[in-house]
Amino acid sequence: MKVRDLMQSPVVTVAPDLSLSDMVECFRRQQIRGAPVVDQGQLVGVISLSDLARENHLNQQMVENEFYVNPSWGSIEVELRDLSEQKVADLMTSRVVSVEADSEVVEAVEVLLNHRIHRLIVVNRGEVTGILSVTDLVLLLRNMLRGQDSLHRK
Amino acid sequence: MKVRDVMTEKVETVLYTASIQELSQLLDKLQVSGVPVVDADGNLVGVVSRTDIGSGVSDPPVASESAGGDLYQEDHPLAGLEGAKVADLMTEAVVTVEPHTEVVALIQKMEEAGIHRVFVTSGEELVGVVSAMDLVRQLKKILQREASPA
Repeated sequence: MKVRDLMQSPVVTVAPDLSLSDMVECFRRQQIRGAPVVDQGQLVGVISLSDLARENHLNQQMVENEFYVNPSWGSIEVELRDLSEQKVADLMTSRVVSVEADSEVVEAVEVLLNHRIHRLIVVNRGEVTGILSVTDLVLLLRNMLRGQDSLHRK
Repeated sequence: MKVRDVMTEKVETVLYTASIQELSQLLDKLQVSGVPVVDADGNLVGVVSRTDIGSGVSDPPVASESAGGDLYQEDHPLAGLEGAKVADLMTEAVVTVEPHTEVVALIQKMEEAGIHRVFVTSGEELVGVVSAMDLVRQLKKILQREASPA
């Protein structure tokens, strides 16, 4: 199985010069928590709500809490007061771990485990084409286990 | 495949009677965002995270790009929390599974609750934890087995 068969695509990307307040609006509209940062077709970083939480722009609710409770976007309040002057480039993580769409899922799994990260940016000939997340992989495991189960029952 | 086959048995916990200072030190020491809360018998009674204390509690500075971070920490993060106990801040509703739960059912629960970590209890007693990363490790084994059939 190839990464392209499992990834989420298309993917919402943001530009480095987008203001953080516009980014938050975009995330809220799309109900996403993170996005690759693309500058003139080139992948230059990733930014997520965790980056905002690190800078104390998020209230009590979540992000760090992600592991324990399910925060729908509705419960997330972002302190916009200090965001207006800042841009995506100011808070993004420039070290991006990416994987080729044509690589095997097992290779992507190894990359993800080695880097201890929750999502990989998928690229195809240098262009961002999707995201592969831990959630996608966990659901693949579920489907494989279900498949084994039905085989055993036959 | 059952939960007991994939869970991590060693779980760091905090007592519900611990002070917020103790909790904060523990989170720093473990470098984690949250821990399960137990009573003296090891029964799971809740979870507590850094964000329950308040944002910015002694998070180590993250690289040099975040030089502006200090601007928002005008008050000492633990101000007003003297005397508070973990039990006062914790979340009591915790999603749990049992060791004999099928992993397929565990994943279903994770998906429905939108969480990446589930605690394992036997009765009330906390006996383990399963994270999404643990499950990805299992997936890796299965995929590797398929790639090179014996």
